[in-house]
Amino acid sequence: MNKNKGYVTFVLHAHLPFIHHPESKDYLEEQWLFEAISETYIPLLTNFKKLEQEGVKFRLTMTMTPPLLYMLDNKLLQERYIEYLEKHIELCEKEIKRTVYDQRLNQLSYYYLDRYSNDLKFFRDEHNCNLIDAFKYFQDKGFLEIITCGATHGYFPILYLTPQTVRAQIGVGVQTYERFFGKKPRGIWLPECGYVPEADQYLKEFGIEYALVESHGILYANPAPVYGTFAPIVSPGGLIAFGRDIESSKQVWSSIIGYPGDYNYREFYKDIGYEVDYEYIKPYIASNGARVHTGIKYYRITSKEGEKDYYNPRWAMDSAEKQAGHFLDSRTAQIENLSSFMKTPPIVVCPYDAELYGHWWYEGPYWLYILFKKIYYDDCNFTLITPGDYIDKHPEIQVATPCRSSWGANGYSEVWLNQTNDYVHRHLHKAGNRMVELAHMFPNENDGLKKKALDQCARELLLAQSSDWLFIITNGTMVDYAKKRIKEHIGRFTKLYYQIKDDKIDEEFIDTIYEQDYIFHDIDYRIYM
Amino acid sequence: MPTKESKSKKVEKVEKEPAKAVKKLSTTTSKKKTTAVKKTAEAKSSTAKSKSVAKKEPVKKATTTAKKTAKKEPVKKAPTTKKETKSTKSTTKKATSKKTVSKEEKPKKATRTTKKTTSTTKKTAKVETEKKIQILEYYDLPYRYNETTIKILAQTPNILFVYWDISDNDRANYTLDHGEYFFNDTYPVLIVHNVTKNYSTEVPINDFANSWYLHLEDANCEYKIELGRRYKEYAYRNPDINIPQDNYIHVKDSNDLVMPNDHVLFETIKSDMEYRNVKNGQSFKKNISEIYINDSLYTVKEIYEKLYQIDNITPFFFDLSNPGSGNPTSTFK
Repeated sequence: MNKNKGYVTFVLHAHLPFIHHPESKDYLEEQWLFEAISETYIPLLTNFKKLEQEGVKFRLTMTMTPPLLYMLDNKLLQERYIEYLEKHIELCEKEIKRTVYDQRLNQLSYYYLDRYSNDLKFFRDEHNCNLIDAFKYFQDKGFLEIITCGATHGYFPILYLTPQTVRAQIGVGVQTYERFFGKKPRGIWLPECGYVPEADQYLKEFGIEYALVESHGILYANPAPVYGTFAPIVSPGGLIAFGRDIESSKQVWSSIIGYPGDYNYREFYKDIGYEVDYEYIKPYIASNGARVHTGIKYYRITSKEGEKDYYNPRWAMDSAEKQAGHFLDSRTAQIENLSSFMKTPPIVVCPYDAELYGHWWYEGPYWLYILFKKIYYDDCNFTLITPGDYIDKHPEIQVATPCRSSWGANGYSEVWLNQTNDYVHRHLHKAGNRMVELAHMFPNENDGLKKKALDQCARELLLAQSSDWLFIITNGTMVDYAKKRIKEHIGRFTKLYYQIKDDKIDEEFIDTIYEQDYIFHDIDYRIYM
Repeated sequence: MPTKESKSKKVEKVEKEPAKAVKKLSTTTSKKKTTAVKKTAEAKSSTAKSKSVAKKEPVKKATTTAKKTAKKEPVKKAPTTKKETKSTKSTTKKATSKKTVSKEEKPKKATRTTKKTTSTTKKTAKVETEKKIQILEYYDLPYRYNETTIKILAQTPNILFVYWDISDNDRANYTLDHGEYFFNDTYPVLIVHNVTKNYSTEVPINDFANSWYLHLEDANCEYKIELGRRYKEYAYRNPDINIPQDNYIHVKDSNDLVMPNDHVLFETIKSDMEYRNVKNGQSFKKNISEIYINDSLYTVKEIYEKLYQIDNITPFFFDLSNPGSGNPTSTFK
């Protein structure tokens, strides 16, 4: 079969909000990073390595957002991740003794012991705690195209009323990328795929060529693009936009018909953290005694209702292999149809949260590994490509303005602007305006202390703008924590704002909060001018 | 920084009010066709309330205090006689708003304390004291910034979110210009200008709210909103009030806002499509006949039907509910 009839591009968006609490070990939210490392980032890297060793050529795009990069780079968090693994290994060893009465369960205990032990070896011994370089390796080898994101995942359709705040999100995102990857990013994952045409000029200013948008970012563009989501468009301002494919999204994402619902896959919600004897599990759950997920889960989805059967890794791998085959066949059929009407080869864009793969859909990284192998070896009519490569091959692009859109529920801004979280926006806008005011007030600050205070203001503002806080409030999960973070960053910003204006800067205060909000070390507040 | 006294005073006042305020708001809003989503005073306050700072809650107090300021109005309205003497009513209101100003966003103090961590070793029972310097911080969001502002954002193609405030300075100036009871005798309105289609609609609001959701007829249009005030009906019966001819006092214009588009713009297709070579920046036109392989296809609608394998595609056909949005992708995102 002709492999050049079309392209499929996978984009995995790896992002977590910046959570760093040197002052306490009691923040459960810090574990989000550890779970993502163990369940998503290490499995992805392991599978990439396997593909490389087997001589399989693949191309994949990944976002690594600035907060994630700074967390992966953080020594304290690295140490705490090692502690997390050691604790898990200890628990697994106990589990091996506890489950001795049941052979199947006991085998699973060994399985988890292996997994966490391998994580420790991979992370500490093989990669010297440096996962960023592990990803960079695959970029340098030509398997991966890593792109950037807004500095703290600030949602542009809300921030853009103060344009400089969008400019800073982009500028600091690019700066962070350069710090860790040693070159400029070609593309950006717009935070929450939130597109507003007003951001185009800043994206261009910082050298961004392309962005990913939601399907209707393309379908509802002006004028209507002739090939729908199967070809990118370029905005009058010069930003190339790739739109998410609807069909392949549903196959993977949907909680009802999507692949992750297969009965052989691991059941996310049955975790020993909630199930075994309380006194036994107490050392491994929240420090306040609340039961939480430990990551050790012994059951498979089994059925929609009723008793759950034990997880069987072999069966789960069989399902992943079948589904990879299904995905391959579906894309082949889709591209066969598309290419019969288009004069340029169609591109099917498949963007996902990276953490879907592994953390929620436990078998996702293996599915991806099998799929990439199949695409390489099997008979199919397309090749894997990155958006950057596509642009190089097909630089003639239709001009159209993408639609204002996001990838949130119902496609616009409801997730980040609704009655649960709309009280926040006036504070974000006000702080943004104040930051611009400060930048203009001190356009060339030479005083070391004042510059330090101004830079810290910029950090606090960026951290307050993270779309994650608004999302969490809407979702109703860790609401208190999200609200606390908004208050803290706006509070610290405002305090510093007055200290700067009154010329009464408290250096010890800055040092203390910098230690906590330990991010964007190279920031220059003048980006807000 | 407000004193403890002033805070507790406000709480007392406030506690009587919310039920009334909400009731009044809901009756007012039910009359408005254009108001799709309304925000009650209570909803606002409870949003601002954080569990972890339950005992502090200045946001809640402050919000309701503002409503309190406005809430006085009906009391004043009550007399039906034409002659209203205004002299006695002014001070309480002013006092209240003064307090509100003083409450405006003062950053909380960071108190420096010495924290002692004590640990006991079993054998020696020796107590080790580790001294650690920490800056304890407590922050709350200011309830207002005491500035005259009106900002609008798009929630969906048809729902616009607006928030506003009038500074105490401006309030004082309005009362200087228009009389001491200006804010009692008038009510706020939002005039919604559809700049693209050149029409305006008006939404009467009230002084209990500081934000609102408006339902708009036309998506994909540019909007601007004006915050203004109009005299209440009874004011016409008072010869002392000088009502402008159009009965309108402008307060502030919002930012411009383009609402998102909500359908496929089949109507925008021309036979010559604009293209650009992004490598060399050159623009050129492609005729629609050069774009498709199958010559029998002439419209984008037809090609969309083929590409997406759907019969009779309509501009609103596509389902925008992100398949991942209802999906518990994880516990943390």
